[in-house]
Amino acid sequence: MQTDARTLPAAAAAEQLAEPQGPVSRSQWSLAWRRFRRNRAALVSIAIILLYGLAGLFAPWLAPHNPVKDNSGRDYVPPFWRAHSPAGVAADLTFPLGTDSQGRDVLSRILYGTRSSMVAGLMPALIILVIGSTLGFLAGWAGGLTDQLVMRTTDIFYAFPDVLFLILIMVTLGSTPLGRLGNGLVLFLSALAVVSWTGLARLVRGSALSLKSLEFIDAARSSGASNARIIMRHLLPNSLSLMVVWAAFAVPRLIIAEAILGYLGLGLRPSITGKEFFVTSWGRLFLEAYSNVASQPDFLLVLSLVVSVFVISFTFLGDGLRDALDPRQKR
Amino acid sequence: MTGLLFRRFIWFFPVIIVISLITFALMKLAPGGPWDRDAESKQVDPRTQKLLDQRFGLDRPLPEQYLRYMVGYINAKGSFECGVVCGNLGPSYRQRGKNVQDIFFGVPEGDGRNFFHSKFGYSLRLGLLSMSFAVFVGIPMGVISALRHNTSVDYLITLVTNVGVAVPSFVVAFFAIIVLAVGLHLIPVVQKSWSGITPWIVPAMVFGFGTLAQTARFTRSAMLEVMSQEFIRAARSKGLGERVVIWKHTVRNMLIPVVTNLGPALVGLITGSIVIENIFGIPGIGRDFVLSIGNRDYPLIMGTTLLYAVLIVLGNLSVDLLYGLIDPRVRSE
Repeated sequence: MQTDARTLPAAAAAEQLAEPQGPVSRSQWSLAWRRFRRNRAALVSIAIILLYGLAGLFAPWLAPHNPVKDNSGRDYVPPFWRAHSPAGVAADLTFPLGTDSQGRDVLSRILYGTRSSMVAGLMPALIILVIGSTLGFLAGWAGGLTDQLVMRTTDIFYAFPDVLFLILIMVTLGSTPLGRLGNGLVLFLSALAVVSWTGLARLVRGSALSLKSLEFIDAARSSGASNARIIMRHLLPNSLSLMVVWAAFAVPRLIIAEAILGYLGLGLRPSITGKEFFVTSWGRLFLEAYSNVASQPDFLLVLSLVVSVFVISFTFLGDGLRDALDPRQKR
Repeated sequence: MTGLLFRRFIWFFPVIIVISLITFALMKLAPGGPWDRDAESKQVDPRTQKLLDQRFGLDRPLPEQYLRYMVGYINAKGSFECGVVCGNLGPSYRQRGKNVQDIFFGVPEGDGRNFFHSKFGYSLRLGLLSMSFAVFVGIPMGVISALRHNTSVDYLITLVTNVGVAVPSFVVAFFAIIVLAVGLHLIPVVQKSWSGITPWIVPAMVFGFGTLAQTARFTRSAMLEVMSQEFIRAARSKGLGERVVIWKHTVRNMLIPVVTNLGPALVGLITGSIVIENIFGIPGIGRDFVLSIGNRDYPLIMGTTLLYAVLIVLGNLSVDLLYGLIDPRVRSE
């Protein structure tokens, strides 16, 4: 990766000295990976997150039942660890986590929900990484009027209550053609991106500002590098660790935003045929599980646990990444 | 300090204007109107619709509608009806004969009813209780954690706060309901009455938990940071008692980053109430918001958005003020 004038962090330098097999040149990223590897909680978290990702990706093959098929007369089947549901229905191992109010298999629905929620977390994060960092670099590098404009815009978005804004967009545009694309996912992802880009833009701008005053940027500029080249070759690689850490903390936030909207009945449109790529989402499931909490508390319990484990994993991953990528920063 | 506050205060106006413009544009972009019973089909006959549109000024060009709402207009009798600038949020389209501000702040009839029984009052009570819980439990937790650095107490508090930061109040609420309401029957799933403090305990604790965890984490790291500084060692070595060192020298300096963090936390508590009020059935402003958008009750939607935006800006402003109170250095700037 980048070998120019970035001073090596002291801890990393000491680590290199301690290496017995002599001077092996290591990139900043391989050093970060070595630090990251020692963080057991973060490694476990990565494994868990990968597991969720695979579960979502392969939901059609893993799900034991059709997630939208109503099994008539088989509603409120309890999960395997209970002999009987509150209403006295006996457990049935063909439905490991039981069935919901309409006799649909809970495990299959959660697997399909995981798929949509993964996309709801990752896609906006990617969109924001592109748009937010572009604006941040522009503001930080260009300064002056551009900077003022971008920063004042972030100020306004900061005061705009984001959940409120999401609700507004979903309700007002939900029944337009845009709102129908991909079961409502397209509109939802764009709305999420629109409300959440400001944090990253501010972060990247700050990083660009502090890098701007360093000598190696002056050197690049005086050797005739264009603005675009400086941003792509120098500012971007040096701000990348910041952006990675931001993403690790942003993804769970975005997923929870989907869950909240879905719970309010405003997220994805429920699928009836089960043929669509996105059948249901965690938010939808929360709504369904909570409306039947008295007859089937286990559904809500399982769902809450699934979501909690996921967001906790992401927090540990974020902490691990931050420690590994920026060892100078104190916790 | 005054200059800073003044600049912040002036900034308030463009923020409100832009937010109201965005909200207004979104509402008008939406298909359907306030007189439709459901979004797809019109069920009010055209003549009535025309009359209603005339009455509420919906037949006028959009910029004029916006100005009528924000500033005011001359009514049929020739007198001036003031708009949002005077605190008049306009008549609700759905709740007949009521202005939006009456819906928010109006006190329901009955004995012993006061401001706290208005919709805003319910939201305010939830927010204040959660915030107090977060501050008055979170800060001591952080302080204890730092004073017992690297002991089992510290590890336990760190574990709890790590979970609290990660798991959103939305999910914590469901755990609370499963365990406390469905499992142990300690609270009802749907609360009937909100008088007294008892029914508020669980919602406030759930809602404040995330902020509490964050506050405790900030307090702990700020405490540790201050405790490692030279002037604390100096205070100890000149023979000051441990209590004076901790309360007068350490805590006061540690509060600054903690208070700064409370600003965003306050914002979270204001907007987060939409979903928490929904889950626990608290009759505040947030609970009815989703319904009002579905109904296309334009003034109510605008009113709610503006109210939340004003609260957020005021929240940030009050943190700036608090900042000055705690840190004399900021005051003199």
